[in-house]
Amino acid sequence: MPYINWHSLPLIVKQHLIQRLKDRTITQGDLEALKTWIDQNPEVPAG
Amino acid sequence: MLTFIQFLEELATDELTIPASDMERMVSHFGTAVRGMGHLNSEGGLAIPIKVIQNAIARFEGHDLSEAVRELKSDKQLAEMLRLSEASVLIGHITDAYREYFRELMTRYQNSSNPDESNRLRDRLVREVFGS
Repeated sequence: MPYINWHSLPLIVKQHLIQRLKDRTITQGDLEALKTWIDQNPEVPAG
Repeated sequence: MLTFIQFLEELATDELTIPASDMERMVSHFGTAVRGMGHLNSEGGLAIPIKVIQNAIARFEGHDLSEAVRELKSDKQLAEMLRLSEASVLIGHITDAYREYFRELMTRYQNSSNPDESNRLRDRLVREVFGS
């Protein structure tokens, strides 16, 4: 199963997602959950 | 063994990096909780803010830091390592201190009204979430 290469995501996309925390579109809990998921280096379906 | 100057140089930097090979060895011995101590870098290593380590060590009072270091260096397998208390406690403290650091960073970013500071905190969060 493949993995997501988070480092290859464009910087502007990453900044956009973090900025949603500033305008409260996402919560601190949402961002913490995303970080925990990324830290586990999850396998994802191909395609 | 770090020299005095190397030690001061490490303290002067913003974060300490565990190389990928050491990190994977620690994950195999102590479980995936190890990854919660910091954020991944592009080489697969784990970057931990110095401030987080300082906070974790401050909480380690009453435990044996030398014993924790001995356990971290050993080649014992996962089940035995989890049974070893000092290293597991130290990893738990670093993970907790890192979680608090990350939450504080998010709160500061949300509350910041200075555009320059907001951008700096946003980019810091980008590194913490997606790696550096």
